[in-house]
Amino acid sequence: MVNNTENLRNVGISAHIDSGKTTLTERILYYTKRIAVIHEVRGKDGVGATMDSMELEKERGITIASAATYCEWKGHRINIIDTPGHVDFTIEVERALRVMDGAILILCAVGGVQSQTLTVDRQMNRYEVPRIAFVNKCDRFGANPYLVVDQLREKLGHNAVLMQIPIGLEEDFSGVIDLVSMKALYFRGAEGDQVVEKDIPDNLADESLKKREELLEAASMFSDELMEAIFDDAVTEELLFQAIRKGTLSRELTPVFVGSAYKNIGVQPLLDGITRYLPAPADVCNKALDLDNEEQEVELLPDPALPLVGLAFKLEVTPYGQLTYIRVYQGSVRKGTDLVFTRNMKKARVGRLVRMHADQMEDITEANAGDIAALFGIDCYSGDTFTDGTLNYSMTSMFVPEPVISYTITPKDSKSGTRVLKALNRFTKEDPTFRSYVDEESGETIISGMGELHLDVYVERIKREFNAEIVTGEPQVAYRETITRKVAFDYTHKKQTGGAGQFGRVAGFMEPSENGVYEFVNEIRGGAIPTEFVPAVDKGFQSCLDKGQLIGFPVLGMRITVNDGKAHSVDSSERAFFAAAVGAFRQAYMKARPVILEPVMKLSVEGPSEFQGSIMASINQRRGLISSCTEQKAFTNIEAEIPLSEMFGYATVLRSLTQGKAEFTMEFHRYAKVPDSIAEDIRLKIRERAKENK
Amino acid sequence: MNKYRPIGPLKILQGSSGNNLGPGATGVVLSRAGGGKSACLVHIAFDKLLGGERVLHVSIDETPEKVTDYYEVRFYNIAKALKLPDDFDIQGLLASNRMILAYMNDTFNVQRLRDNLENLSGNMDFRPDTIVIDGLHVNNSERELIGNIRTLARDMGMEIWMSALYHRHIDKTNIRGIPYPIDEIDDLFDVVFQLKPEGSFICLHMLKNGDNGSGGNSMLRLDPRTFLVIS
Repeated sequence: MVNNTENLRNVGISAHIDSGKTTLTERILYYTKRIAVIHEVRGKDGVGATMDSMELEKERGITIASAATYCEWKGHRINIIDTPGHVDFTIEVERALRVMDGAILILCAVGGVQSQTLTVDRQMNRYEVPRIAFVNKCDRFGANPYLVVDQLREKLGHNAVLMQIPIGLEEDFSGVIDLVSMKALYFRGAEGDQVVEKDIPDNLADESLKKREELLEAASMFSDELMEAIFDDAVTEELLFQAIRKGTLSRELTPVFVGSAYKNIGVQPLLDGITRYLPAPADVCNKALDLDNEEQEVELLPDPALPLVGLAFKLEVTPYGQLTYIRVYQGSVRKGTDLVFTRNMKKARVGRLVRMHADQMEDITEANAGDIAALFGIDCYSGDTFTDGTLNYSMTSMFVPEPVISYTITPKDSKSGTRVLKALNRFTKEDPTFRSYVDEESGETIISGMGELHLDVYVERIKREFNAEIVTGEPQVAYRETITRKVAFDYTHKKQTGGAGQFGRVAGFMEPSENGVYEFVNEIRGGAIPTEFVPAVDKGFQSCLDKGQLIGFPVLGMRITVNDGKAHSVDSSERAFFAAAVGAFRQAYMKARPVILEPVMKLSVEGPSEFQGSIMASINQRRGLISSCTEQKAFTNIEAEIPLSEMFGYATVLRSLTQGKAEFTMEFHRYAKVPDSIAEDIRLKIRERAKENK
Repeated sequence: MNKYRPIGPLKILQGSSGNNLGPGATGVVLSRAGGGKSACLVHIAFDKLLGGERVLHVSIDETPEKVTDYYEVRFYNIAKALKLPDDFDIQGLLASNRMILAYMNDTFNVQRLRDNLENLSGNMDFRPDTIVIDGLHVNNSERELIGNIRTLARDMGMEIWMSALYHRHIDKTNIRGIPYPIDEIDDLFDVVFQLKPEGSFICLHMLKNGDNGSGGNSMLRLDPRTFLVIS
């Protein structure tokens, strides 16, 4: 067991979908002796890759949930998180990168820099994650790692430098030439276990020298010592390692490795690269906010002896209870000790502490600073900071994108209804980008998430894992209503049908409020409405805000001023004034010219500049208003405001418009008035839906 | 909206022999580092926007967010100086007539700008009347680039404003009174403004207005915070 944090690496693996992340991880686990047999992602043995533990993952051949694992390589412990490649599962990538110190960016030797590569690269930039690149699938037809390196430079702006060159390509791909040792490496044995070092083949000698020159030139920018050694012709491997490491840690250099995980070529040198060039926890500056000191930033030190600070970065509900993945940034977590969650200052006892290996786990007694582990039976949320109680620190929260698409789901029978509820409870705890609620009006269950595939996977999981039969419906937008003019009301609620009567008169006016929130102004003079009944009047008005009379959606931005009224000494009550307020609201609301408000999203579309025109047109066709364009190398980022109702199916449209090379994100920005022509359509649709629901 | 229209830098043209700006024209604002070039360009943009024109703000190496913030702060300062409310509706209206185009990491070139303009016009129906290019740092060695920008202004029928940085220690001036670093390319501009700090004011000198050469002795004193004309 390696306990030194200097020899610890927390590494994320990110790439475009189907670049071979899981296949590579499988090889890493095999060569580090964590698994005895290699299983392929879509292998004939039907077992599936070790990291794809979910049934759906094995079937679709994609990674949905990120699975954590660890291995040891040449005296280093490597914690690995395998992350999904599809844009809809981006939260998994974000979570992984938040807690990782370094990353491997995998690229396909044929596809090169693809749309999702851009996303993960941007995410890595956001979290300032140093990375190395691995150009995979060099055995494939059309493989060209040199072109991929050019794309890394041009499209992603990386100072990418080859650490190796391939020996042969496509079906002739047989090994790599290491440009540091200047040796040819071949991978012999049934699973490529034995790394055989040989002299560089004659036909590649010139190319190797040329590429080594490039490597030396790039690395020398980070070391004067290396620069001098180059002049003196005295370059040592150690000098080169140090310079490359320095460049990588500063994110000014991206070492590029080549290989084919599937063909078992080039994985062991990549493991060497992880340990040599990616940072140890102490190389990365992690910060927390000191809540007792005006949220001042404080640096966390990966010292087990210091007070504990850690982050719960992922929750998973297993059949045995909630599993919480944690990263310890400072101090250590020990079995049997207490944790204090900063969010609510609640204590939790560490009962079971485990180290994860895909869906299997090993019990451990202690996790030290820098480590990634998992806790059992701790009730907390994803993104919670925990300490030992001596500090009041909070880690900066993770970026959690807002859901962008909603479906209605209807269980086919009551048994399925219960199961759906259970499933939704579980998924919403696991995944902060997945939300669910029951629409009070229609009684329908609405699920919302990051895209069609994201929701499709959950729908599929509801069906498979919970045996529930469901029907999914049309997507829906959360409209709102507001009034546009000032209108007076004067309403008397009077009821005399045996027993105690009810009497209450409420007079005043309603008008739009300036700040978009509900306001109640009491201007009653001379006790026209007794003070004890005024709160009931306020409550009566507020009760009407949940459902406007125009389309039945909540009402925003209204100021109610009550300036007169009347009470009866016997028949007036809180109930009577509540009812009078409801009557007054109904009397005046439609006269106040209500309008429909729709959610307007802040949209960001990023894609190759050649598609700028098509992207702009697609935004314009959807009533979008572009506010800015940013040109970055060969890419354009377009920012716009756009109504959510126009965005359903946009992912598919954008993919087809840009050959899948553009991607978009959006978040709620504000509510805005729906144009009159569209408002009428909405009213008709909602009316029809209400009829259907009846 | 007109009440917000500041009496700003462009007022200098009113007292001059003629207004040589308009479609196809180019202008440049000269000042030393920190002398208010960007602010002056933004105030020129405000003048156009508040006059109902459409403006494209081209930012080189500054993100759109920063540019937006800059406009908001400037609008707030103008509103405060004019004792008017910081009206969000008017800001919204101005934003809808303004587009920000940011070029990061040496990506600016005239062909790309031309392509972007065609995309904006063809796909968004956004055809600016004026373009302000901030961050280009015009100088003599860029004759070809500035020439291409001038051609673009004429081809597209738009007014284009840029900025240049002068150095106090280089007092080279051409016979028309135009200082380094644009003394060899002043033929590419219709209007040349120079900003100079003077006590607690900024002085705006008009060095050129049209082909007739010197802009004469036209000079305005501006409030450095609001760029409103003081005298």
